[in-house]
Amino acid sequence: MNLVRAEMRKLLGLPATWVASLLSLALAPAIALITTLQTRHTLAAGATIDVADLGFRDLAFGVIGPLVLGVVAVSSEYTSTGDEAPDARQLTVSLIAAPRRLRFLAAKTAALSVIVMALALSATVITITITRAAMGDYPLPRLEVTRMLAVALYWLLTALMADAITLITRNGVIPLTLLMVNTSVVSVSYLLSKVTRAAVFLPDIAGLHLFVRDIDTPIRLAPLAGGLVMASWVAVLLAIGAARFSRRDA
Amino acid sequence: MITVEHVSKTKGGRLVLNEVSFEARPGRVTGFLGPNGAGKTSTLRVLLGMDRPDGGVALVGGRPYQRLDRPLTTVGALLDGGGAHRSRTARAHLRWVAASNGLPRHRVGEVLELVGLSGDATSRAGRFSLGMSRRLGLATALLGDPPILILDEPVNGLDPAGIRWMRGFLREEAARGRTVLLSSHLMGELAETADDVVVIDRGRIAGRGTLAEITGDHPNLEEAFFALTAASTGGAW
Amino acid sequence: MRAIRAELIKIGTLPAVRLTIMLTWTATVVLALVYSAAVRRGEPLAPDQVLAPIRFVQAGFVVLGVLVSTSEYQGGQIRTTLAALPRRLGLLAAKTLALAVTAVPVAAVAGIASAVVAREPWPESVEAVAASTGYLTLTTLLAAAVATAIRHPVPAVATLLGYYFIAGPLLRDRTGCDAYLPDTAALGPAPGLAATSAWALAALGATAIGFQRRDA
Repeated sequence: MNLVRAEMRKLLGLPATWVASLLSLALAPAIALITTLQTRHTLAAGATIDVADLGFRDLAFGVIGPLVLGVVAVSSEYTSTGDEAPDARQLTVSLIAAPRRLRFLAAKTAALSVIVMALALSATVITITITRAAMGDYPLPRLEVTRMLAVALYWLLTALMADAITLITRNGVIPLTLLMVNTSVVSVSYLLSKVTRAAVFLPDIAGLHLFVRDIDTPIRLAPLAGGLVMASWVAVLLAIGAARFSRRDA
Repeated sequence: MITVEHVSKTKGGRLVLNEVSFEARPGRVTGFLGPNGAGKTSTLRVLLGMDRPDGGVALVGGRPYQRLDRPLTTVGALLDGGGAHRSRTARAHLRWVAASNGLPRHRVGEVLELVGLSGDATSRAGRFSLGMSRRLGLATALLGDPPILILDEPVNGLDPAGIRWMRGFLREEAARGRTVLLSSHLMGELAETADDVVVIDRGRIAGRGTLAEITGDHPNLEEAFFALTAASTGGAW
Repeated sequence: MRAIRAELIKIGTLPAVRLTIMLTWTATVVLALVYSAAVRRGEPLAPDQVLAPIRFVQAGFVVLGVLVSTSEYQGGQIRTTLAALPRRLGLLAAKTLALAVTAVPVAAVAGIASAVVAREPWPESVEAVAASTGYLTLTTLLAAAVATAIRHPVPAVATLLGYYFIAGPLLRDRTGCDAYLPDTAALGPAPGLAATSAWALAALGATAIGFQRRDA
């Protein structure tokens, strides 16, 4: 418990965490607002539009905040202390304070999970509320609590995946580039799914099946199946990251 | 008590530690002396569980570092600078370290006071000078009030007043029964502070004993050091 | 000239830069293969097969620009640099030129690789390769300018890619400000290049003022 508290304090003490948190809370609602207003326009003009994913599709972009959090939680350990002590890194002190590496990692992952879950649940509630308020009497997706929890799970898994990849690369730039490019409106995974059916089982595409209903992929996964596929990826990546972290010289 | 027995370590195909053995006893300041690149930091990293030795054992208080519960209450260590994330304030850095080992919060203010950083508690670590980073590192080491101190080049970057303070501080800590191990390449400084001396050169222990034993018939520690390491330094300059 | 040579040596000897370039080229070929596979299936995924991979691959050029400029601040190298070349504007000009000299061939190779994999007829694809080379080089310079102001690689990459892959596409999609965004040229050649150049110049100008005035 001490270790988890220390890791929380560490994470919350970083300016990057606050920026990423703000992003988590503001991005999806902002996009959702623009989307709903557009949708209203279209509907008012008499066109038909599928509203099954209204609000939810916007939450898929909001994942950028948790992604940055996952990267920063690990990469901050490897950042140089400053110009005057370029070789010094926080990791040295972290391991002096908590030499059992797996325990240290478990505490870090727990702290990250708590923060991401809090942000994810808040962002989901805010986004869905805004969507419903802005749509007024127009048609809306049904209000399902499990679907909202599924969004939070997707955010959490994405943050953990970022955390695991950073643990493997020991550098924030690589996972950040990889994952941000793939959060794009047209992601690389989506492109791949147009060429090979196997791409549906990539973590992000599988994970989106958790809460997006209208996905244009060659195979459709049930929400539970999609979640399990993504969770397996995260588990494997975390295991590789943890194994490397505990074996390697710091 | 610090015990290092037959520790060997290869890094990038190069043998950086070759059967290193020595000990540091309570109530004494043990100086770990060697030229740059001799293996001082490598030894300390193995001792602190950062790096895994290829052979041998390194124990602090009779146990490997990774086996210690709340290690900061047993060992205080200063390795490569302060180790604070550049965007964190000195106080925030110490607060998380304290939390990790369940240390009371009032220790943060106490150690900041002790190393003379009270006035800079809310400055970000990235803005600190070299000397201030070292002080913050020392504050981190002292947080758990540990019986064993392991310090890598602690006087690096300190001004003359800071060096004098550090010398007095380490002598006092040893007098209270603590085990103090400090590495240095500054011989004059070490001769003023250490009771025992361990000399390392090119990954091997070149000599160990009390300051008097190591100095022997030589006029001072510096002469003794060059005599011990003659093979490696001969003609290099 | 000496300053440019020094900067070129600095860029060329950073292992991270070499790695980024190799990964960028690899990604270009892989993506080009994906697009051409889609064409063979009769469902093309983009109108222009040569430019399509560039939309993703520009991430590599953004990272290239970020790594080159933030490396100065990673271990206090900037002090050595400024001791050797104290005139900051001259230094920034040398840095920019050296980076451009590096980026042009890297971008050209990426464009040519994309065209070759797509089996586009030669004379027609020359224009696309030239346009993408120009666009990617300007993007690299823009990224370097922004990163010089931010100084740290992780926040710089997050900010820039956040624009290029999230905010930019959304703005284009949901609002009508296409012609004025710095990355519109990634979608089609000539028209967007003017906007990209203007943004790159503006970023360089702002960074030059900051670099001149700020403490190193």
